[in-house]
Amino acid sequence: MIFEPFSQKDLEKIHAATLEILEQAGVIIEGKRAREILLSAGCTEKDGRIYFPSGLVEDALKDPVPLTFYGIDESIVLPLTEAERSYSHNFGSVSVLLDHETDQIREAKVKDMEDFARLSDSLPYLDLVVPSLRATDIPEEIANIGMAVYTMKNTRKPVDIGTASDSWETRYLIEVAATIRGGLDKLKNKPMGTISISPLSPLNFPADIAEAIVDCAGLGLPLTMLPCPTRGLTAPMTLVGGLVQQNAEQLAFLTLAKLVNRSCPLVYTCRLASANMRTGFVGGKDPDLGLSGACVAQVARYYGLPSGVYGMDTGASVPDIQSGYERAINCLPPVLARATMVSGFGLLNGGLLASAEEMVIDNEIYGMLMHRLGRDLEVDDEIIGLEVIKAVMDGGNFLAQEHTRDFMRKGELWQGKLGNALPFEEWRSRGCPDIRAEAKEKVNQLLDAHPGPYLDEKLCRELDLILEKARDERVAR
Amino acid sequence: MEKVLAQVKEAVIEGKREETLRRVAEAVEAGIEPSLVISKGLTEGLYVVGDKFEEGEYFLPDMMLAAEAMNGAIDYLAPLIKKSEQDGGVRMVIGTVKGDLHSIGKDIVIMMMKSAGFDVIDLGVDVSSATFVEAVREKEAAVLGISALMTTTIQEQKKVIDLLKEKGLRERVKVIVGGAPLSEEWAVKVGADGYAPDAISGVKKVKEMLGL
Repeated sequence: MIFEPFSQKDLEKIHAATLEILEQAGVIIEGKRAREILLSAGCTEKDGRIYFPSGLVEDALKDPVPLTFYGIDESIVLPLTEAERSYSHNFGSVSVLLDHETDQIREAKVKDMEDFARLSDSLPYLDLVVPSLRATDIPEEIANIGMAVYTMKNTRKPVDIGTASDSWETRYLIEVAATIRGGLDKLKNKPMGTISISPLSPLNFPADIAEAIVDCAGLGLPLTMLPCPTRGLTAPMTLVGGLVQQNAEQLAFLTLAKLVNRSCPLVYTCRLASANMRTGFVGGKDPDLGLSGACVAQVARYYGLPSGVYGMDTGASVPDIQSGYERAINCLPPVLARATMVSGFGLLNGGLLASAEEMVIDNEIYGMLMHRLGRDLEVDDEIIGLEVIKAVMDGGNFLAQEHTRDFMRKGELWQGKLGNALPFEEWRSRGCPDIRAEAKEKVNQLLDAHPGPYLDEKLCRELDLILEKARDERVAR
Repeated sequence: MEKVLAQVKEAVIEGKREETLRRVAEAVEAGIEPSLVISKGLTEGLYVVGDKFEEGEYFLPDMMLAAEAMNGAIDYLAPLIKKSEQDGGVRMVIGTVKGDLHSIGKDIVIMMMKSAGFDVIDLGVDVSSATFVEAVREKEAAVLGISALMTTTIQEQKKVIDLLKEKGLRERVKVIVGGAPLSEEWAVKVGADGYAPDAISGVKKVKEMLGL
């Protein structure tokens, strides 16, 4: 049971329209090296825009490179290419949070960054950790590098390396990850995550972005292609139009990266959003987010690429009913479509606000989705329970059957850890506990129980020195 | 005359670029003063659009199309009007900070400010602190709008304001900051006079700051 929004004919139409955009509307690409690479491969240029011949794009799409993530603890393995279910990850790069102790909205500090990494590490249904908070008590110039250091120190799981916005910062991000792995070659063989690069929409690769693609693809590190178009503002108003433009942005990115290095693994992401058409605010309150993620899962699969899509998204600013139903509506379609990675643990207000208690609640939601909805159903005699039905009909009940006990132990029933399912009288006699209070308590329990940095002291010290070096280079004292 | 001007007004309300131009040309051919075409035709049309927006009937694309229809017509009329008749309105300089190439939020604000009668000078995107400050000085702006979209670039807003102070220009201009990751606290922290979460409240905030 895989949800596929498009027919084969739809997919072919989308692909053909994408090639037509790349060939006839072209792409704004700056950056000397990127332009030279594309032009010498057969692209043409007119008035500064680069036009992609279809054959070149089709060729770049051949032989997609398989990708597997390895945790900071290398025994934790996420095979993205052959994934049978969707992996989850948290939000990234948010600098404001809803404090779970005080209920106040405040700026994130380094301590919060560590806590969120440890929380991500502790939640069993969160697969990949993304550097989440952008602390305001470290200098702006080294904030992204700090995010990588503090996150990687505090988890055993696979970790995204960060977002490349200029070459100085990107070099440092790679140095941090390579130091943990014990060298760049080891990092290439066992990547812990990707480096994300975002072109502008519509179809615009400024010099820093185009050069970052050339540099990172050259190293052979896996890249997340991360255009973020907004329907009606920087992409067509229609969902399918937005998806096609986004696809053109992906394939322009892919063609450039593949021309630099055929063995560069790439992840196809969907960040297609919509805006409030009265204020221009892009705020998450949109049932199309989940559907667009399902569409991209199918399009990416058509190209043989792993996908990363929105899931746990909401416009709400607290973990409330709105947050709950919007998350459910947006997370279900990509999970049913088997998107490779689904984002958004802990995210509120369309990605502007972070919440630790929401992280814990999302762990529960994702657990429920992964219980069965996000997996293939198996049918065989034992699962059907042919023999047990016959036995019970001869006398007895299902409770006293080994079949019942065995399948219960195998997890046939969802055993939730959070939320109320008590008879209401008992719930009332316990003082009417609510999910937020429960989640807040759980946050503290998990943080108290976390063993601290997984990396040894020497390695932690090396990472601190890298951060110090970056500080010396860029931050005025 | 009434009928022709009503047709100009209607074309603006409908956000029809070509038709607005055609109706404006007809009005000029009929001998109507260009300044009257602007005030009784185009501007009145835009007021209706503004009202419809306030009432919730119109959305941003309706506003944008109407504003573009009007701007196209004004470009056509401008050479026909005597300099002395042109009323500039309060001057605002606006741009997106250095390192940030996002323009659409800023463009919505510009459209709204122009519709509210402000004389807006757009510095574009990736604007250095020095360029902002120089524009404030040279254009004698009453208002400066500083836009930034990304958590990684909002810091630049403070740099612009610090440079204004350094050059002794801070007291001469009201500063408003905008961008999705911002808050009132942020505006205070960077030393701005105000912040608005969206373009509509931005116009209100600027008027409030200027005591208009």
